[in-house]
Amino acid sequence: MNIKLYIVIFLTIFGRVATAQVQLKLCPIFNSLSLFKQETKQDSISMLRFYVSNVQLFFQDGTKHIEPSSYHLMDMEEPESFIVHLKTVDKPIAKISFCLGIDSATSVSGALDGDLDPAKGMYWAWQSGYVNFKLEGKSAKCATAKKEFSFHIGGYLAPFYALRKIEIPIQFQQNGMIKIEMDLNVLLSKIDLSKMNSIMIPGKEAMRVADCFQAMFSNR
Amino acid sequence: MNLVKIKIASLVILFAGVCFAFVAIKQKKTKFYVPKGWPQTVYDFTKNPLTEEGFKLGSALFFDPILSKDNSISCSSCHLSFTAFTHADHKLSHGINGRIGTRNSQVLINLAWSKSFMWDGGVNNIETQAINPITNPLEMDNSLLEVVKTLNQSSKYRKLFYAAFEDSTVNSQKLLKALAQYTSQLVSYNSKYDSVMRKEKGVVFTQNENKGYVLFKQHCASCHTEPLFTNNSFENNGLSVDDELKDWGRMKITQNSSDSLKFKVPTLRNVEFSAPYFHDGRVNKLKEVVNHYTSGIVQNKTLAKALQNPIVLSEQDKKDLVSFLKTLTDKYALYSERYRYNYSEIVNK
Repeated sequence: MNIKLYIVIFLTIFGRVATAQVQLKLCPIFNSLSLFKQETKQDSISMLRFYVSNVQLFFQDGTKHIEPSSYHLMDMEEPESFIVHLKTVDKPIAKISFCLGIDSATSVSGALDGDLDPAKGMYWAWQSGYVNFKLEGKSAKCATAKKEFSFHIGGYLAPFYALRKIEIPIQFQQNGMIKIEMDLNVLLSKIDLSKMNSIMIPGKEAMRVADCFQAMFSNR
Repeated sequence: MNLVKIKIASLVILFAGVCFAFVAIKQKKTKFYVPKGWPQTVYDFTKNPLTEEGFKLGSALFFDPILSKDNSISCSSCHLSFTAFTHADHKLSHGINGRIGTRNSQVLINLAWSKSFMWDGGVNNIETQAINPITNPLEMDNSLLEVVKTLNQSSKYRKLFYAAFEDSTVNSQKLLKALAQYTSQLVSYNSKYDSVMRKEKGVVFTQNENKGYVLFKQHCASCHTEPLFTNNSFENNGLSVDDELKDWGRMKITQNSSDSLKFKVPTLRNVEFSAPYFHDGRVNKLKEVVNHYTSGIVQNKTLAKALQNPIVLSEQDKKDLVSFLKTLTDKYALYSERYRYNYSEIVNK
Protein backbone atom coordinates (compact mmCIF):
# COMPACT_ATOMS: atom_id res chain seq x y z
CA MET A 1 0.00 0.00 0.00
CA ASN A 2 2.70 2.35 1.07
CA ILE A 3 4.78 1.55 -2.00
CA LYS A 4 1.84 2.30 -4.31
CA LEU A 5 1.35 5.60 -2.56
CA TYR A 6 5.00 6.48 -3.01
CA ILE A 7 4.82 5.60 -6.70
CA VAL A 8 1.79 7.85 -7.17
CA ILE A 9 3.52 10.71 -5.34
CA PHE A 10 6.75 10.13 -7.29
CA LEU A 11 4.94 10.17 -10.62
CA THR A 12 2.93 13.30 -9.83
CA ILE A 13 6.06 15.20 -8.91
CA PHE A 14 8.70 13.90 -11.28
CA GLY A 15 6.44 12.66 -14.05
CA ARG A 16 5.30 16.22 -14.70
CA VAL A 17 8.84 17.59 -14.60
CA ALA A 18 10.05 14.93 -17.02
CA THR A 19 7.35 15.72 -19.56
CA ALA A 20 7.70 19.50 -19.28
CA GLN A 21 8.87 20.99 -22.53
CA VAL A 22 10.57 24.05 -23.75
CA GLN A 23 10.00 24.93 -27.37
CA LEU A 24 12.61 26.69 -29.41
CA LYS A 25 10.97 28.24 -32.45
CA LEU A 26 12.94 29.76 -35.29
CA CYS A 27 10.98 32.31 -37.28
CA PRO A 28 12.49 33.00 -40.73
CA ILE A 29 11.75 36.54 -41.89
CA PHE A 30 12.11 37.93 -45.39
CA ASN A 31 11.25 41.52 -46.33
CA SER A 32 9.80 42.02 -42.83
CA LEU A 33 7.29 39.20 -43.34
CA SER A 34 7.26 35.62 -42.13
CA LEU A 35 8.82 33.48 -44.84
CA PHE A 36 5.83 31.15 -44.53
CA LYS A 37 3.52 33.99 -45.61
CA GLN A 38 5.54 35.43 -48.46
CA GLU A 39 3.79 36.48 -51.62
CA THR A 40 5.23 35.88 -55.05
CA LYS A 41 7.16 38.96 -55.98
CA GLN A 42 10.22 39.72 -58.00
CA ASP A 43 12.38 39.17 -54.96
CA SER A 44 11.63 35.84 -53.36
CA ILE A 45 13.02 32.85 -51.53
CA SER A 46 12.39 29.49 -53.18
CA MET A 47 14.41 27.34 -50.81
CA LEU A 48 15.58 27.60 -47.24
CA ARG A 49 16.93 24.44 -45.64
CA PHE A 50 19.52 24.22 -42.91
CA TYR A 51 20.77 22.16 -40.00
CA VAL A 52 20.54 23.22 -36.38
CA SER A 53 22.61 21.01 -34.11
CA ASN A 54 23.92 20.81 -30.55
CA VAL A 55 21.16 22.95 -29.01
CA GLN A 56 22.03 24.17 -25.51
CA LEU A 57 20.01 26.20 -23.02
CA PHE A 58 21.76 28.24 -20.34
CA PHE A 59 19.41 28.98 -17.44
CA GLN A 60 19.61 32.07 -15.29
CA ASP A 61 20.28 29.87 -12.26
CA GLY A 62 23.58 28.79 -13.78
CA THR A 63 22.46 25.31 -14.87
CA LYS A 64 22.25 24.25 -18.48
CA HIS A 65 20.47 21.77 -20.68
CA ILE A 66 22.28 20.07 -23.56
CA GLU A 67 19.93 18.34 -25.98
CA PRO A 68 21.08 14.76 -26.60
CA SER A 69 21.66 13.70 -30.25
CA SER A 70 20.68 17.15 -31.34
CA TYR A 71 20.30 17.32 -35.13
CA HIS A 72 17.44 19.18 -36.78
CA LEU A 73 16.88 19.75 -40.47
CA MET A 74 14.74 22.86 -40.91
CA ASP A 75 12.95 23.22 -44.22
CA MET A 76 10.68 26.11 -45.26
CA GLU A 77 8.39 23.58 -46.94
CA GLU A 78 7.67 22.16 -43.48
CA PRO A 79 7.06 25.00 -40.99
CA GLU A 80 6.83 22.54 -38.05
CA SER A 81 10.46 21.61 -38.68
CA PHE A 82 11.41 25.05 -37.30
CA ILE A 83 10.27 24.06 -33.80
CA VAL A 84 12.64 22.14 -31.53
CA HIS A 85 10.99 20.40 -28.60
CA LEU A 86 13.37 20.29 -25.68
CA LYS A 87 12.68 17.94 -22.79
CA THR A 88 13.67 20.17 -19.93
CA VAL A 89 12.25 22.30 -17.15
CA ASP A 90 10.62 25.60 -18.03
CA LYS A 91 12.61 28.14 -16.05
CA PRO A 92 14.21 31.48 -16.89
CA ILE A 93 16.78 31.20 -19.66
CA ALA A 94 19.71 33.57 -19.99
CA LYS A 95 21.12 32.38 -23.29
CA ILE A 96 20.72 29.71 -25.92
CA SER A 97 23.32 28.37 -28.29
CA PHE A 98 23.26 26.01 -31.24
CA CYS A 99 25.41 25.16 -34.19
CA LEU A 100 24.33 26.06 -37.67
CA GLY A 101 25.53 23.01 -39.55
CA ILE A 102 26.94 19.57 -38.88
CA ASP A 103 30.19 19.00 -36.99
CA SER A 104 33.27 17.27 -38.45
CA ALA A 105 32.99 14.12 -36.34
CA THR A 106 29.44 13.48 -37.54
CA SER A 107 30.50 14.26 -41.10
CA VAL A 108 32.95 11.34 -41.15
CA SER A 109 30.58 8.85 -39.47
CA GLY A 110 29.35 7.09 -42.60
CA ALA A 111 25.70 6.52 -43.49
CA LEU A 112 23.34 8.07 -40.93
CA ASP A 113 19.55 8.18 -40.70
CA GLY A 114 16.75 10.49 -39.60
CA ASP A 115 17.42 14.15 -40.36
CA LEU A 116 20.99 13.17 -41.26
CA ASP A 117 19.86 10.70 -43.96
CA PRO A 118 21.90 11.65 -47.06
CA ALA A 119 18.71 11.09 -49.09
CA LYS A 120 17.37 14.34 -47.58
CA GLY A 121 19.34 16.19 -50.23
CA MET A 122 21.65 17.96 -47.82
CA TYR A 123 24.68 15.79 -48.52
CA TRP A 124 27.51 16.18 -51.00
CA ALA A 125 28.55 12.91 -52.59
CA TRP A 126 31.74 13.80 -54.49
CA GLN A 127 33.18 15.57 -51.48
CA SER A 128 31.71 13.89 -48.42
CA GLY A 129 29.90 16.07 -45.97
CA TYR A 130 26.68 17.84 -45.22
CA VAL A 131 25.45 21.03 -46.78
CA ASN A 132 24.87 23.09 -43.63
CA PHE A 133 22.67 25.72 -45.21
CA LYS A 134 20.84 26.15 -48.51
CA LEU A 135 19.28 29.41 -49.57
CA GLU A 136 17.90 29.89 -53.07
CA GLY A 137 15.75 32.56 -54.61
CA LYS A 138 15.50 35.54 -56.91
CA SER A 139 16.75 39.06 -56.54
CA ALA A 140 16.80 42.01 -58.91
CA LYS A 141 20.36 42.63 -57.74
CA CYS A 142 21.68 39.45 -59.39
CA ALA A 143 23.59 40.17 -62.56
CA THR A 144 22.43 37.00 -64.30
CA ALA A 145 19.58 36.72 -66.79
CA LYS A 146 17.31 34.73 -64.53
CA LYS A 147 18.13 36.89 -61.49
CA GLU A 148 18.55 33.78 -59.39
CA PHE A 149 20.85 33.18 -56.46
CA SER A 150 21.79 29.89 -54.92
CA PHE A 151 23.96 29.43 -51.86
CA HIS A 152 24.88 25.95 -50.64
CA ILE A 153 27.12 26.45 -47.63
CA GLY A 154 29.08 23.58 -46.12
CA GLY A 155 32.52 22.10 -45.51
CA TYR A 156 33.77 20.06 -42.56
CA LEU A 157 37.54 20.18 -43.09
CA ALA A 158 39.96 22.88 -42.02
CA PRO A 159 40.62 25.50 -43.28
CA PHE A 160 37.09 25.55 -44.72
CA TYR A 161 35.08 24.29 -41.75
CA ALA A 162 31.79 26.10 -42.28
CA LEU A 163 29.94 25.15 -39.08
CA ARG A 164 29.12 28.19 -36.96
CA LYS A 165 28.14 28.37 -33.31
CA ILE A 166 25.26 30.78 -32.81
CA GLU A 167 24.71 32.35 -29.39
CA ILE A 168 21.62 34.35 -28.56
CA PRO A 169 20.92 36.14 -25.26
CA ILE A 170 17.32 35.57 -24.20
CA GLN A 171 15.16 38.43 -23.02
CA PHE A 172 11.71 37.21 -23.94
CA GLN A 173 10.29 33.83 -23.15
CA GLN A 174 6.71 32.86 -22.52
CA ASN A 175 5.08 29.62 -21.40
CA GLY A 176 8.11 27.58 -22.31
CA MET A 177 8.38 29.12 -25.77
CA ILE A 178 11.48 30.90 -27.03
CA LYS A 179 11.13 32.64 -30.36
CA ILE A 180 14.21 33.33 -32.40
CA GLU A 181 13.87 35.58 -35.37
CA MET A 182 16.01 34.71 -38.39
CA ASP A 183 16.16 37.68 -40.72
CA LEU A 184 17.30 36.54 -44.17
CA ASN A 185 17.63 40.12 -45.40
CA VAL A 186 20.44 40.61 -42.90
CA LEU A 187 22.36 37.77 -44.51
CA LEU A 188 21.57 38.83 -48.09
CA SER A 189 22.58 42.43 -47.32
CA LYS A 190 26.06 41.17 -46.47
CA ILE A 191 26.47 39.44 -49.83
CA ASP A 192 27.03 41.53 -52.93
CA LEU A 193 24.58 39.71 -55.20
CA SER A 194 25.68 41.67 -58.25
CA LYS A 195 29.11 40.03 -57.96
CA MET A 196 28.31 36.70 -56.37
CA ASN A 197 25.10 34.77 -56.73
CA SER A 198 26.16 31.15 -56.42
CA ILE A 199 28.23 29.08 -54.01
CA MET A 200 28.16 25.30 -54.41
CA ILE A 201 31.37 24.08 -52.78
CA PRO A 202 33.26 24.44 -49.52
CA GLY A 203 35.89 27.17 -49.64
CA LYS A 204 36.68 30.80 -48.87
CA GLU A 205 33.37 32.19 -50.16
CA ALA A 206 31.37 29.66 -48.16
CA MET A 207 33.36 30.61 -45.06
CA ARG A 208 32.58 34.29 -45.60
CA VAL A 209 28.84 33.63 -45.85
CA ALA A 210 28.98 31.37 -42.79
CA ASP A 211 30.59 34.21 -40.86
CA CYS A 212 27.43 36.25 -41.45
CA PHE A 213 25.04 33.67 -39.97
CA GLN A 214 25.14 34.95 -36.38
CA ALA A 215 23.84 38.41 -37.34
CA MET A 216 20.56 36.94 -38.65
CA PHE A 217 19.41 35.72 -35.25
CA SER A 218 17.75 37.60 -32.43
CA ASN A 219 15.29 36.89 -29.63
CA ARG A 220 12.07 38.86 -30.08
CA MET B 1 -3.55 -37.13 -16.60
CA ASN B 2 -4.54 -36.22 -20.15
CA LEU B 3 -4.88 -32.59 -19.14
CA VAL B 4 -1.31 -32.59 -17.80
CA LYS B 5 -0.09 -34.12 -21.07
CA ILE B 6 -1.87 -31.49 -23.11
CA LYS B 7 -0.44 -28.78 -20.91
CA ILE B 8 3.09 -30.14 -21.30
CA ALA B 9 2.62 -30.58 -25.04
CA SER B 10 1.38 -27.01 -25.45
CA LEU B 11 4.27 -25.71 -23.39
CA VAL B 12 6.72 -27.62 -25.58
CA ILE B 13 5.09 -26.23 -28.71
CA LEU B 14 5.19 -22.72 -27.27
CA PHE B 15 8.84 -23.13 -26.32
CA ALA B 16 9.70 -24.45 -29.78
CA GLY B 17 7.82 -21.56 -31.34
CA VAL B 18 9.72 -19.02 -29.27
CA CYS B 19 13.01 -20.74 -30.16
CA PHE B 20 12.08 -20.79 -33.82
CA ALA B 21 11.17 -17.12 -33.81
CA PHE B 22 14.44 -16.37 -32.11
CA VAL B 23 16.43 -18.41 -34.61
CA ALA B 24 14.51 -16.95 -37.53
CA ILE B 25 15.61 -13.40 -36.81
CA LYS B 26 19.03 -14.21 -35.48
CA GLN B 27 21.71 -13.18 -37.98
CA LYS B 28 24.88 -15.12 -38.43
CA LYS B 29 27.62 -12.84 -37.18
CA THR B 30 30.91 -12.86 -39.05
CA LYS B 31 34.25 -11.57 -37.98
CA PHE B 32 36.61 -9.49 -40.06
CA TYR B 33 40.03 -11.10 -40.27
CA VAL B 34 43.11 -8.90 -39.95
CA PRO B 35 46.18 -10.82 -41.15
CA LYS B 36 49.05 -11.13 -38.72
CA GLY B 37 51.36 -8.12 -38.83
CA TRP B 38 48.83 -5.94 -40.68
CA PRO B 39 47.59 -2.63 -39.30
CA GLN B 40 44.14 -2.37 -37.72
CA THR B 41 41.38 -1.46 -40.15
CA VAL B 42 40.41 2.16 -40.67
CA TYR B 43 36.75 1.20 -41.03
CA ASP B 44 35.01 0.93 -37.67
CA PHE B 45 33.08 -2.33 -37.90
CA THR B 46 31.40 -1.77 -34.53
CA LYS B 47 29.09 0.69 -36.30
CA ASN B 48 28.19 -1.87 -38.95
CA PRO B 49 28.46 -5.31 -37.33
CA LEU B 50 29.15 -7.86 -40.04
CA THR B 51 26.65 -10.62 -40.62
CA GLU B 52 26.32 -13.24 -43.31
CA GLU B 53 22.88 -11.81 -44.15
CA GLY B 54 24.30 -8.30 -44.47
CA PHE B 55 27.04 -9.56 -46.78
CA LYS B 56 24.53 -11.43 -48.96
CA LEU B 57 22.31 -8.36 -49.21
CA GLY B 58 25.29 -6.19 -50.08
CA SER B 59 26.36 -8.71 -52.69
CA ALA B 60 22.87 -8.84 -54.22
CA LEU B 61 22.79 -5.02 -54.42
CA PHE B 62 26.30 -4.81 -55.84
CA PHE B 63 25.39 -6.95 -58.85
CA ASP B 64 21.90 -5.53 -59.40
CA PRO B 65 21.20 -2.85 -62.06
CA ILE B 66 18.18 -1.88 -59.92
CA LEU B 67 20.42 0.83 -58.46
CA SER B 68 20.71 2.68 -61.78
CA LYS B 69 18.16 5.11 -63.18
CA ASP B 70 17.19 2.97 -66.20
CA ASN B 71 17.94 -0.41 -64.65
CA SER B 72 20.86 -0.94 -67.04
CA ILE B 73 24.09 -0.94 -65.02
CA SER B 74 25.22 -2.23 -61.65
CA CYS B 75 28.29 -1.64 -59.51
CA SER B 76 29.74 -4.75 -61.08
CA SER B 77 29.47 -3.23 -64.58
CA CYS B 78 32.68 -1.34 -63.82
CA HIS B 79 33.98 -3.48 -60.95
CA LEU B 80 34.31 -7.07 -62.16
CA SER B 81 35.43 -9.71 -59.71
CA PHE B 82 37.73 -11.52 -62.17
CA THR B 83 39.73 -8.34 -62.82
CA ALA B 84 40.34 -7.30 -59.24
CA PHE B 85 37.01 -5.44 -59.29
CA THR B 86 38.04 -2.96 -61.91
CA HIS B 87 36.96 -2.61 -65.54
CA ALA B 88 39.34 -4.34 -67.92
CA ASP B 89 39.92 -2.63 -71.27
CA HIS B 90 38.03 0.51 -70.22
CA LYS B 91 40.10 3.59 -69.57
CA LEU B 92 37.25 5.59 -68.00
CA SER B 93 34.22 4.43 -66.08
CA HIS B 94 30.98 3.90 -67.95
CA GLY B 95 27.46 5.02 -67.10
CA ILE B 96 23.92 4.61 -68.34
CA ASN B 97 23.18 5.36 -72.02
CA GLY B 98 26.84 4.82 -72.87
CA ARG B 99 27.93 7.89 -70.91
CA ILE B 100 31.62 8.01 -70.09
CA GLY B 101 33.02 9.24 -66.79
CA THR B 102 36.20 11.14 -66.12
CA ARG B 103 38.30 8.58 -64.25
CA ASN B 104 39.44 4.98 -64.38
CA SER B 105 37.36 2.71 -62.15
CA GLN B 106 39.45 1.64 -59.18
CA VAL B 107 40.16 -1.82 -57.85
CA LEU B 108 38.09 -2.77 -54.80
CA ILE B 109 40.61 -4.53 -52.57
CA ASN B 110 41.26 -4.22 -48.85
CA LEU B 111 39.04 -1.14 -48.63
CA ALA B 112 38.60 -1.54 -44.88
CA TRP B 113 42.15 -0.19 -44.55
CA SER B 114 41.50 2.80 -46.79
CA LYS B 115 41.41 6.25 -45.20
CA SER B 116 39.66 7.90 -48.12
CA PHE B 117 37.95 6.92 -51.35
CA MET B 118 37.96 8.00 -55.00
CA TRP B 119 41.09 9.10 -56.88
CA ASP B 120 40.95 12.51 -55.20
CA GLY B 121 40.09 11.18 -51.73
CA GLY B 122 36.94 13.31 -51.63
CA VAL B 123 34.97 10.61 -49.84
CA ASN B 124 35.72 10.00 -46.18
CA ASN B 125 33.87 6.77 -45.41
CA ILE B 126 33.32 3.52 -47.28
CA GLU B 127 29.61 3.73 -46.48
CA THR B 128 29.04 7.05 -48.21
CA GLN B 129 31.28 6.17 -51.18
CA ALA B 130 28.42 4.36 -52.94
CA ILE B 131 26.35 7.56 -53.08
CA ASN B 132 28.74 8.72 -55.82
CA PRO B 133 28.21 6.07 -58.50
CA ILE B 134 24.49 5.92 -57.67
CA THR B 135 23.91 9.66 -58.12
CA ASN B 136 26.62 10.71 -60.59
CA PRO B 137 24.88 11.68 -63.87
CA LEU B 138 27.73 10.02 -65.80
CA GLU B 139 27.26 6.76 -63.92
CA MET B 140 23.93 5.49 -62.55
CA ASP B 141 22.28 8.93 -62.62
CA ASN B 142 19.82 8.00 -59.90
CA SER B 143 18.83 9.58 -56.59
CA LEU B 144 18.94 7.95 -53.17
CA LEU B 145 15.23 8.68 -52.71
CA GLU B 146 14.39 6.84 -55.95
CA VAL B 147 16.59 3.84 -55.14
CA VAL B 148 15.07 3.54 -51.67
CA LYS B 149 11.58 3.78 -53.17
CA THR B 150 12.33 1.09 -55.78
CA LEU B 151 13.87 -1.25 -53.21
CA ASN B 152 10.88 -0.79 -50.89
CA GLN B 153 8.64 -1.95 -53.75
CA SER B 154 10.62 -5.14 -54.25
CA SER B 155 9.46 -8.13 -52.21
CA LYS B 156 12.82 -9.80 -52.85
CA TYR B 157 14.72 -6.91 -51.27
CA ARG B 158 12.26 -6.41 -48.44
CA LYS B 159 12.99 -10.01 -47.45
CA LEU B 160 16.74 -9.55 -47.77
CA PHE B 161 16.67 -6.31 -45.75
CA TYR B 162 14.56 -8.00 -43.11
CA ALA B 163 17.06 -10.85 -42.90
CA ALA B 164 19.95 -8.43 -42.55
CA PHE B 165 18.46 -5.71 -40.35
CA GLU B 166 15.32 -7.26 -38.78
CA ASP B 167 13.40 -4.53 -40.54
CA SER B 168 12.06 -4.81 -44.06
CA THR B 169 11.72 -1.04 -44.55
CA VAL B 170 14.59 0.15 -46.68
CA ASN B 171 16.28 3.47 -46.07
CA SER B 172 19.49 4.88 -47.45
CA GLN B 173 21.43 4.09 -44.30
CA LYS B 174 20.65 0.37 -44.51
CA LEU B 175 21.32 0.34 -48.25
CA LEU B 176 24.74 1.96 -47.80
CA LYS B 177 25.68 -0.14 -44.79
CA ALA B 178 24.77 -3.34 -46.64
CA LEU B 179 26.88 -2.33 -49.65
CA ALA B 180 29.75 -1.56 -47.25
CA GLN B 181 29.40 -5.02 -45.71
CA TYR B 182 30.13 -6.47 -49.13
CA THR B 183 32.80 -4.07 -50.36
CA SER B 184 34.71 -3.96 -47.07
CA GLN B 185 35.03 -7.74 -47.16
CA LEU B 186 36.65 -7.88 -50.59
CA VAL B 187 40.08 -8.70 -49.23
CA SER B 188 43.33 -9.95 -50.63
CA TYR B 189 46.12 -11.44 -48.54
CA ASN B 190 46.76 -14.78 -50.21
CA SER B 191 49.06 -13.92 -53.06
CA LYS B 192 52.40 -15.62 -53.65
CA TYR B 193 54.01 -12.57 -52.04
CA ASP B 194 51.96 -13.19 -48.87
CA SER B 195 52.91 -16.87 -48.80
CA VAL B 196 56.58 -15.98 -49.13
CA MET B 197 56.31 -13.40 -46.36
CA ARG B 198 54.55 -15.94 -44.15
CA LYS B 199 57.39 -18.36 -44.94
CA GLU B 200 54.93 -21.01 -46.06
CA LYS B 201 56.47 -24.36 -46.83
CA GLY B 202 57.79 -24.71 -50.36
CA VAL B 203 56.88 -21.18 -51.50
CA VAL B 204 59.85 -19.05 -52.51
CA PHE B 205 60.42 -16.18 -54.93
CA THR B 206 62.21 -17.08 -58.16
CA GLN B 207 65.53 -15.36 -58.68
CA ASN B 208 63.91 -12.75 -60.94
CA GLU B 209 61.06 -12.10 -58.51
CA ASN B 210 63.55 -11.70 -55.71
CA LYS B 211 65.60 -9.17 -57.69
CA GLY B 212 62.37 -7.40 -58.55
CA TYR B 213 61.41 -7.27 -54.87
CA VAL B 214 64.73 -5.62 -54.02
CA LEU B 215 64.18 -3.04 -56.77
CA PHE B 216 60.61 -2.54 -55.61
CA LYS B 217 61.69 -1.78 -52.04
CA GLN B 218 64.30 0.60 -53.37
CA HIS B 219 62.18 2.57 -55.86
CA CYS B 220 58.45 2.03 -55.23
CA ALA B 221 57.79 1.09 -51.62
CA SER B 222 57.84 4.60 -50.17
CA CYS B 223 54.41 5.17 -51.70
CA HIS B 224 53.27 1.60 -52.43
CA THR B 225 54.02 0.53 -48.89
CA GLU B 226 53.70 -3.09 -47.79
CA PRO B 227 51.59 -4.94 -46.85
CA LEU B 228 48.72 -2.92 -48.41
CA PHE B 229 50.94 -1.64 -51.23
CA THR B 230 49.66 1.88 -50.71
CA ASN B 231 50.48 4.43 -48.03
CA ASN B 232 47.00 5.95 -48.41
CA SER B 233 48.47 9.31 -49.42
CA PHE B 234 48.08 11.53 -52.48
CA GLU B 235 50.99 12.05 -54.83
CA ASN B 236 51.80 13.59 -58.16
CA ASN B 237 53.44 10.71 -60.03
CA GLY B 238 54.63 12.84 -62.93
CA LEU B 239 51.87 12.14 -65.44
CA SER B 240 51.24 14.87 -68.00
CA VAL B 241 47.89 16.64 -67.80
CA ASP B 242 45.30 15.22 -70.19
CA ASP B 243 44.15 18.15 -72.37
CA GLU B 244 40.59 16.94 -72.55
CA LEU B 245 40.02 15.83 -68.96
CA LYS B 246 42.03 18.63 -67.33
CA ASP B 247 41.94 16.71 -64.07
CA TRP B 248 43.83 18.39 -61.22
CA GLY B 249 43.06 15.60 -58.78
CA ARG B 250 43.24 16.27 -55.07
CA MET B 251 43.31 20.04 -55.55
CA LYS B 252 39.61 19.97 -56.43
CA ILE B 253 38.91 18.77 -52.90
CA THR B 254 41.35 20.82 -50.83
CA GLN B 255 41.53 23.90 -53.11
CA ASN B 256 45.16 24.00 -52.17
CA SER B 257 47.61 24.48 -55.05
CA SER B 258 50.13 22.24 -53.31
CA ASP B 259 47.72 19.36 -54.06
CA SER B 260 47.64 20.05 -57.79
CA LEU B 261 47.92 16.87 -59.90
CA LYS B 262 47.99 14.64 -56.85
CA PHE B 263 45.98 11.45 -56.93
CA LYS B 264 45.45 8.67 -54.45
CA VAL B 265 48.25 6.09 -54.41
CA PRO B 266 46.49 2.91 -55.57
CA THR B 267 47.21 -0.50 -54.10
CA LEU B 268 49.25 -2.79 -56.35
CA ARG B 269 47.57 -5.95 -55.17
CA ASN B 270 46.28 -7.90 -58.19
CA VAL B 271 47.87 -5.27 -60.42
CA GLU B 272 48.49 -7.96 -63.07
CA PHE B 273 44.72 -7.99 -63.74
CA SER B 274 43.72 -4.40 -63.09
CA ALA B 275 44.74 -2.81 -66.41
CA PRO B 276 44.40 -0.17 -67.71
CA TYR B 277 46.51 1.81 -65.29
CA PHE B 278 46.68 5.29 -63.74
CA HIS B 279 43.76 7.58 -62.82
CA ASP B 280 42.73 8.01 -66.45
CA GLY B 281 43.62 4.53 -67.63
CA ARG B 282 46.14 5.87 -70.10
CA VAL B 283 48.38 2.79 -70.32
CA ASN B 284 47.56 -0.87 -70.74
CA LYS B 285 50.67 -2.81 -69.81
CA LEU B 286 52.71 -3.07 -66.63
CA LYS B 287 55.82 -2.57 -68.74
CA GLU B 288 54.48 0.82 -69.82
CA VAL B 289 53.81 1.73 -66.20
CA VAL B 290 57.42 0.97 -65.30
CA ASN B 291 58.64 2.89 -68.36
CA HIS B 292 56.68 5.93 -67.20
CA TYR B 293 58.64 5.98 -63.95
CA THR B 294 62.00 5.63 -65.67
CA SER B 295 61.52 7.91 -68.66
CA GLY B 296 58.09 9.57 -68.65
CA ILE B 297 58.14 11.76 -65.54
CA VAL B 298 56.95 15.33 -66.16
CA GLN B 299 58.72 17.70 -63.78
CA ASN B 300 56.34 19.84 -61.76
CA LYS B 301 56.27 21.71 -58.45
CA THR B 302 54.12 19.10 -56.77
CA LEU B 303 55.98 16.04 -58.11
CA ALA B 304 56.40 13.30 -55.47
CA LYS B 305 59.70 13.54 -53.58
CA ALA B 306 60.51 9.93 -54.35
CA LEU B 307 60.36 10.70 -58.08
CA GLN B 308 62.46 13.86 -58.13
CA ASN B 309 65.64 11.91 -58.85
CA PRO B 310 65.54 9.79 -61.99
CA ILE B 311 64.95 6.08 -61.53
CA VAL B 312 67.42 4.16 -63.67
CA LEU B 313 66.53 0.58 -64.53
CA SER B 314 68.01 -1.78 -67.11
CA GLU B 315 65.71 -3.77 -69.38
CA GLN B 316 66.36 -6.82 -67.20
CA ASP B 317 65.57 -4.78 -64.04
CA LYS B 318 62.22 -3.81 -65.54
CA LYS B 319 61.40 -7.42 -66.33
CA ASP B 320 62.36 -8.44 -62.80
CA LEU B 321 60.23 -5.68 -61.30
CA VAL B 322 57.21 -6.78 -63.34
CA SER B 323 57.73 -10.40 -62.29
CA PHE B 324 57.70 -9.28 -58.67
CA LEU B 325 54.48 -7.28 -59.24
CA LYS B 326 52.88 -10.45 -60.58
CA THR B 327 53.53 -12.19 -57.26
CA LEU B 328 50.85 -9.84 -55.87
CA THR B 329 48.23 -11.72 -57.85
CA ASP B 330 45.81 -13.38 -55.45
CA LYS B 331 43.83 -16.12 -57.18
CA TYR B 332 41.78 -16.75 -54.05
CA ALA B 333 40.52 -13.20 -54.17
CA LEU B 334 40.06 -13.13 -57.95
CA TYR B 335 38.13 -16.35 -58.21
CA SER B 336 36.42 -16.53 -54.84
CA GLU B 337 32.88 -17.86 -55.15
CA ARG B 338 31.96 -15.66 -52.22
CA TYR B 339 32.68 -12.53 -54.24
CA ARG B 340 30.77 -13.57 -57.31
CA TYR B 341 27.43 -12.74 -58.86
CA ASN B 342 24.51 -14.58 -57.29
CA TYR B 343 26.54 -15.53 -54.25
CA SER B 344 23.42 -15.37 -52.11
CA GLU B 345 21.65 -17.75 -54.47
CA ILE B 346 24.66 -20.06 -54.81
CA VAL B 347 24.82 -20.57 -51.06
CA ASN B 348 21.06 -20.87 -50.65
CA LYS B 349 20.90 -23.90 -52.97
